[in-house]
Amino acid sequence: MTATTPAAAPAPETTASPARTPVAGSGSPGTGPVLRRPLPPGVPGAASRPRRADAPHAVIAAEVWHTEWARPLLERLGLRTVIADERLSCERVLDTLAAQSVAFVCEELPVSGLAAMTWAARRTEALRRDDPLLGVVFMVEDHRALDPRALGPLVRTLSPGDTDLPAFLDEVRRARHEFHWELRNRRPGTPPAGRTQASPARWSGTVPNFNVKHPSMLLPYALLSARTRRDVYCEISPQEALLFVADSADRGPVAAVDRVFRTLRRDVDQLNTALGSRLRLHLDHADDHEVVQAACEAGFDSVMVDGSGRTLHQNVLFTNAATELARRYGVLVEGEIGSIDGAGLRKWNKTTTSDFTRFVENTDLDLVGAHVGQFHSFDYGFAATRRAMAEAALLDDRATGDDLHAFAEACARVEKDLTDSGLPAYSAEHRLVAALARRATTEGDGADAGPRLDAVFREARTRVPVFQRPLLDALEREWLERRLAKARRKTGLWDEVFAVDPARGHRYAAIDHGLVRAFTGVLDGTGRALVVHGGSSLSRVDLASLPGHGVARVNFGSTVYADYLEALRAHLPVDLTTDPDSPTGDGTWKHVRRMSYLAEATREWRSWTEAPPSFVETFVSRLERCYAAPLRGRTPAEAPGGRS
Amino acid sequence: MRAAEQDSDIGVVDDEAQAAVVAAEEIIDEASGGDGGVFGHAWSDDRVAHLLERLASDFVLDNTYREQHLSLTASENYPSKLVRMLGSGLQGGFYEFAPPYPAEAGEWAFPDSGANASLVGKLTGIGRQLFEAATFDWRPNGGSVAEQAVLLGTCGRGDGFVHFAHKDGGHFALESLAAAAGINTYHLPMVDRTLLIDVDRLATLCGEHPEIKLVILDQSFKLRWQPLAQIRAALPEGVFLAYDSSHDGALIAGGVLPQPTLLGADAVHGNTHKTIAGPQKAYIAFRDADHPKLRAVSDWVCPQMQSNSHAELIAPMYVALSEIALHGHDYARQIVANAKVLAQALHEEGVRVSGESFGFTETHQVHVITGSAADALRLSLGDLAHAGIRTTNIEVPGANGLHGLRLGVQAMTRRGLREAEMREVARLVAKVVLRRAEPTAVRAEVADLLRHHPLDELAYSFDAHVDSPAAARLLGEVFR
Repeated sequence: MTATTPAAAPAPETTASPARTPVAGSGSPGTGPVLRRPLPPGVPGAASRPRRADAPHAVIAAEVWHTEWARPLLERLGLRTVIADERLSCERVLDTLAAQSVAFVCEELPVSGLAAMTWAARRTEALRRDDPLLGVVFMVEDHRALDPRALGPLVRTLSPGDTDLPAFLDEVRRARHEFHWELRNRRPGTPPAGRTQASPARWSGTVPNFNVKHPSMLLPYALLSARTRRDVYCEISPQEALLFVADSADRGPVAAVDRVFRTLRRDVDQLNTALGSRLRLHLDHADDHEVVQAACEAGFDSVMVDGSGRTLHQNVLFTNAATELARRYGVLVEGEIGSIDGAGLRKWNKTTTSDFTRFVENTDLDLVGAHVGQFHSFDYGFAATRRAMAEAALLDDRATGDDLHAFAEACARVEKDLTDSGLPAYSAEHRLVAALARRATTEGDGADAGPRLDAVFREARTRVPVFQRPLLDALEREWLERRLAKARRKTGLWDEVFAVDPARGHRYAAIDHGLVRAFTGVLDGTGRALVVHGGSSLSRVDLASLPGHGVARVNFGSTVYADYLEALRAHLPVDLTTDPDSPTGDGTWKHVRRMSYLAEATREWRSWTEAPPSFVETFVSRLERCYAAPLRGRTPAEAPGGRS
Repeated sequence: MRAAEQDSDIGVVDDEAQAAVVAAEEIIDEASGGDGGVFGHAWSDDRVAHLLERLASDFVLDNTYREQHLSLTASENYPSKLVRMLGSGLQGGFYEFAPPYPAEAGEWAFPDSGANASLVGKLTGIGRQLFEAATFDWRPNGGSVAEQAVLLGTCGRGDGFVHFAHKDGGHFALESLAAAAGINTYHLPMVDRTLLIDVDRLATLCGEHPEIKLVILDQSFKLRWQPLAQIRAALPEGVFLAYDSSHDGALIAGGVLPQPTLLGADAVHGNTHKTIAGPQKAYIAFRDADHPKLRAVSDWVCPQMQSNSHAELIAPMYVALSEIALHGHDYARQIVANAKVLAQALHEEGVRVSGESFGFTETHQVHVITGSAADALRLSLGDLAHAGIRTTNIEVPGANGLHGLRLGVQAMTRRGLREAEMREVARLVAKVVLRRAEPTAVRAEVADLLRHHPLDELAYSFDAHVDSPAAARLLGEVFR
């Protein structure tokens, strides 16, 4: 029971660690007492039957609901249906129901052709006043009334014989899931029972915890561990897994991250076996349950469940749910209080002792991270990244081929301009735009043909009078501008994702030793220990003082990565500081260049274990000198928290 | 020939009629699904199905609204499942029920199974116990009926009564009725700073107006316990002292506030759907079974003001009071603790909360001062409603005419919210009231908070027993 005797150092791990499977029951070796208050009288336990409130709603217009062929299609979805009519409009229902609980609104489309495109756009905008991800379905008796390709993301038509409404519902759910972290905040389901590995010790002296921004960085970390015969933790956040390591996110960010976790676990096991190292794998800054579960299942030794971006109360709820999950896999759990990350509410404030005390009292963690004055440079915005990637995917989804959606919007705009300029609805110009819209939808009506809008324009130019040609060009310009706007938006989104540059200007923050002492005092007797993030920002003197305080781990991120690149540059010189003119934003371009460079320079890193290149040796020396050595010495023999 | 023609004509007519009948039968047969069943069976089913679906839709909407909204009104609660379901029994009867004094069966007495008397016996027994009373009249169909019966049973034309002015939280049900009945209305003198009744001035008032026969403490905006013993002592003999416990019934029954009857009130009355999470019903409990006004007050309830006492609500009322008997002490303590934390947290957020000098509240209510009546209305029906927070706007007692919000924590306490969650609630309210946060964003936070506190697992209720064999037997019989 290593975890209940925190002072005991774990035996060196020489065999590969298989992926963890959950253990039966809620407890595991090393768990302390659960310090949760009893439920109020009359409330049954948390693991209860599925709740009605979890089923989404569909708001269906009465005309649709009473349409013989449509109702079975809608009923089959099993949603909580609210029927809207002239006394209870769809908008009123949407006002009443919380935005994310309505999957879609289904209304009848009373017009066809270009008018239908305009109508659909107007209604969609009105219905989405509070929820931009609301699904919108327009019922049409004849599928030719409106080409679904002309509709925006998460908007579709429903016509007799449709069978893919469930897929549409899944699409809405998936998009929301990526956009709203609140929806991922739900208590995770109980994983199946199984066997688990013993947890690593909570305490084996003050150990470094290095960021992994590329898998090749594992080798020097393992060498350091083998040479110092000590535990060395290496950590990766979901954001880093996605942006620095993942090969593809085709199946969604969590699947990509999961793949990275499993690969890392395999690599770490192979290194430990080959080098006799004690490299431990830690998940850093995970703020949703899916990611925590992925890491646990991949066999991570330790996870950090980061609820610090929430309020204290929400942080406790999130942390307890995630801890309950991690305990099933026998994984060490670190929580965080005080918002030391970029998404936090109080990034620049130190954690208060009262918040820290309440957090410790109400959670059951092995390790606690807090803001003690250090600077934490990297933005761990995995939620924002998921959101940006989901938005880019939604834009991709419609911006294919000739982008009929953009063309429909352009037609509606030109129609409006014609009306504003005083041309009556029956004028030749209006009819021309309507005819082009009709042609655009019928032109690509073949199975996989896709629209051929260039052919539509070419044909129109040969047939319309010269004085109407400017109208065609205006329409083409509007269409291209909309496509360009989408492309610009996507570029902007990638910039949001990749604009993550380590900020070295803030190096050497002053640590608040009084606060560290206060926190370790709170932890005294609980068997838990403190973790200090942002170790890169601390001076050597401050680092050397942390073992004396009984700090369990110190995390190093930005400077280690910079040091690694610096060492690598000696091996494969390239100037990464100057960026040529880039087709995308600076952040994205810099990231692409850096990743390309790393991929090229470390292509064969798995074969380096026998004879590591000189730059690896240089980097290992630096790790030892600047990061590991200051953390040794004056370390208490026993865990500062005492035995729990 | 003629006869034959006639016969023939008749035969044609008969054939036509026969054909029409056959055609009609075919139509009917088709409509009824071809099974030769009841006339218009399928047609009728379809119509009924539509009707039921539309009804279900309305309930989906309303249930979801309840699930997703933070109910901070002081006058509502969530009845437990048993309370809601038991109302399905005893429907359809028009029963006369005995008054709370000995009486012979009268003109409107109905023969019955005896179960009604058994249920009433259980209900009145627990009612007397919870309110330390000698009688418990369960028949009033609402709190207004109860207080109006007290007024009419204790005062006649030319008499007077004293109650809280509207600005001090007095109820609206009495003054118009009193005026119509020729009863003079006086208002309780208050100390604005403390929100307590000025007992000396009340004594003077009663001395100067010997026609005053009733003092009724009918406060709806209620932050404090009033000095009932001193009030009783200051009143001339023969003045009826009534305490309206509609708002704080569960706090009294739960032992957090004193029993009015033990401090000198002649009667305590109130409804059962505010802090008591029962059906929309009311009660009048007399301290003394021989009280001279018992008969008059009880007769005003029934048969003068109502003829039917809604027998279907006896069992729900009994269960609601039983939940109070079992969990009332914890429930009442938690309500007061929640209210105090909510008030303090709002105050710390920067919201102007009434009553800082006495710790903000001694009941389930918290009063927030926001400014003009229009401001308060805009908040309660506008931003807060859009943010998923239900409140009501009031003229705040003791705030020099300023308006604001009356918040009550009893419903959220039943959903299991406690001090930590109340701090969250305060943060959310302050975001809307003070910081003008986007209501849609706050609403997502509200829904997130309430997701941890589902409506089908109410605290301090019998919800945990609803799946038990005993409950199954009971409900099987109720729905039979």
